[in-house]
Amino acid sequence: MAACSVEELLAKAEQDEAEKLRSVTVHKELDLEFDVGNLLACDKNRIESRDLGGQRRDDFLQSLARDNTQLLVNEIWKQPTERVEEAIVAKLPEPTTPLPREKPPPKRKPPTKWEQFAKLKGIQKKKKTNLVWDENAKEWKRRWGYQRARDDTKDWLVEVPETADPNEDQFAKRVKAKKERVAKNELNRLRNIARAQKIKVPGVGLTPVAQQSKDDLSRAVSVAKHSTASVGMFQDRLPKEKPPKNTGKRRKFGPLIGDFSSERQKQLELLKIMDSKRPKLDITKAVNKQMREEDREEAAASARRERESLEESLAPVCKCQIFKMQRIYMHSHEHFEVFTTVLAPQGRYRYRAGAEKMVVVHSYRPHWPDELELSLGDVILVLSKHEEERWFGRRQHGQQGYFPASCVMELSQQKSLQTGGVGFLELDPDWRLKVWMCQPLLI
Amino acid sequence: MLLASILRTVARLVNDRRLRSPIETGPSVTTSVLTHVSRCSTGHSVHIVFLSYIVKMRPLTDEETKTMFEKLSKYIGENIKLLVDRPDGTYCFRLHNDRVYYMSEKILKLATNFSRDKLVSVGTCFGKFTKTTKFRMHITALDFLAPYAKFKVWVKPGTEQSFLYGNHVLKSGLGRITENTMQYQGVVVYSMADVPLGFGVAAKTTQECRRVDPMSIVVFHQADVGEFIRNEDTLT
Repeated sequence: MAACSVEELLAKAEQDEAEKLRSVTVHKELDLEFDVGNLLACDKNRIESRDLGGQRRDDFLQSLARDNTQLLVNEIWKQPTERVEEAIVAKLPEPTTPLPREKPPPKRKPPTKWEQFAKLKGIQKKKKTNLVWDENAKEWKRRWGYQRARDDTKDWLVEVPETADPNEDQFAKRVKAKKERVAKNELNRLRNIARAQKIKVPGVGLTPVAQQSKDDLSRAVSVAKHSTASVGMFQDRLPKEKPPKNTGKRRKFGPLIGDFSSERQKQLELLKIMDSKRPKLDITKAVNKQMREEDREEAAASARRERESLEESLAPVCKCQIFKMQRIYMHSHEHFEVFTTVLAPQGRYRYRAGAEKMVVVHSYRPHWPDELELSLGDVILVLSKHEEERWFGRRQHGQQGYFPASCVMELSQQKSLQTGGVGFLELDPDWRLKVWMCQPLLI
Repeated sequence: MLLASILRTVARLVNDRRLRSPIETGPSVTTSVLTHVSRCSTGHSVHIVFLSYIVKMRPLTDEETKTMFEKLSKYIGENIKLLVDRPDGTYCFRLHNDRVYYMSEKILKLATNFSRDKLVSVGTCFGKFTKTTKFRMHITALDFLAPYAKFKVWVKPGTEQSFLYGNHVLKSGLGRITENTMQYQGVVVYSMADVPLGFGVAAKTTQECRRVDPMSIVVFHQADVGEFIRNEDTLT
């Protein structure tokens, strides 16, 4: 019994060991390729397609990933390690896999004038010595530069050639020639740069030109004005002289991906300024008000005339017709132009944006089904005043209808009447015939 | 008739895709289009621009921003704030080849990976600056004008087709108009089914509109969705 159990125990122990080792060792047919610097492991083993199909795919992939990661970690453990503050750190080697470029490769510079010429002539670059033997100073001096070997500007004796002017200063002549060579060299260098970057030669002042054009002169003037200690800030200007344009300054724009919040702030501020500068809609209101006033006067005058002429000859039939049209209008929502052509409008429309509260000063019995019954003392909300003398309003209970304007009065007016002690006006709620002016649907 | 229905379906398709308010849906729905130059694929002529004249994409200067905002505010008033300051992401205006594009910063960052001559369009094109620095709005801005428009004009079904061909809107074709429209106010034109068709300028105030004879122009045409077919080449 005991022996069996011991054997069992040993077997179990061995199995455990094997398990532990197994968890760390991975068997692969082909070894993986590692790039420990980039923490990269390339597995070139074949994958059976049957492993990838079906529902065991996830398990398969997970075990594969686990194995490969284990191998990579094993590889990392092979690197030299050191201890840094209670952590074991492995020092990774240089990465061997080249990563692709982030930006496109830079373009080649175009060859300079000399390089083009050298290529054409087949001139090879010859390596020259840095130092040259100078006979006079008897020492090795630089080929060019500070204290160079053969500096002809430093000669203490210059022979005057036979053909030269005896009064000419030969030393000054040599210095001037050197300066010109330097300037020419500099200009060629700038031209090379300009050709490479496809820009114009950066200005190095004004070169003398035989015949100066208007542009040259203006540029000369601006350069002269600019060349003061204060860079031309306090120079006087002629009365009608305009500031020079195209001074050649390169415009600086903001960065493409700059600070978005600051950009937003600036734009919002700009909008605020624009809002404050915008004028309110006073003009249209004033114009509309004026138009209404004119309409009212016009309507009052014409209505009086019509009333006298039409009142007597009015047939009930006409009234019904008008009523019918009114009905049609109220129930239809479209057909804008039908009403404008059929019912030939007179004068301008009056539109009332705000509704007013009025008090009934004279009770009114409706003559037509769409009219509102008014009783003394009611407060009516006047919704619109299509006509001079016939308004549309709503009572407290929600009833809506038309009524003559003479039956109601504004609250303030009412008060004054009461204090004044004048009795209520007894106006005739006459139904004056007038061609109905329709109102389009407005938003 | 067939052409009209085709135009209408195209307009509707185009607009349905873009009709949802830019705020409700995420930036992925709003037209974030990055197009790459495809030479010879359509057969249409591609703009041949000399390398030295393509300036890099850049943010707008103050004057340019002011000009553009003034133009936009003619149509949407103070709702430009909602375009500048959006709760669902950072959106910005950028200038590329004289055209103003409105895009999210994500798209902008992607756009930096294209070289200047190969980048045709980013985000939504709102319009372009002419050589004399005037801002001209294109129909592609309609997606952002329509939801925020202050003054609207509804046009009858019969006049829709005429408007989509580039004609002005006459009084006889006018269905509805917002009250208090001033003269020469920027308006957005809708069909009776509330589909935005384009935008224009009101030729008359609302008051005057009611009085004039049916043959007079009430809305000057500026841009309509038919331009997507007519001016395919010049729109980016």
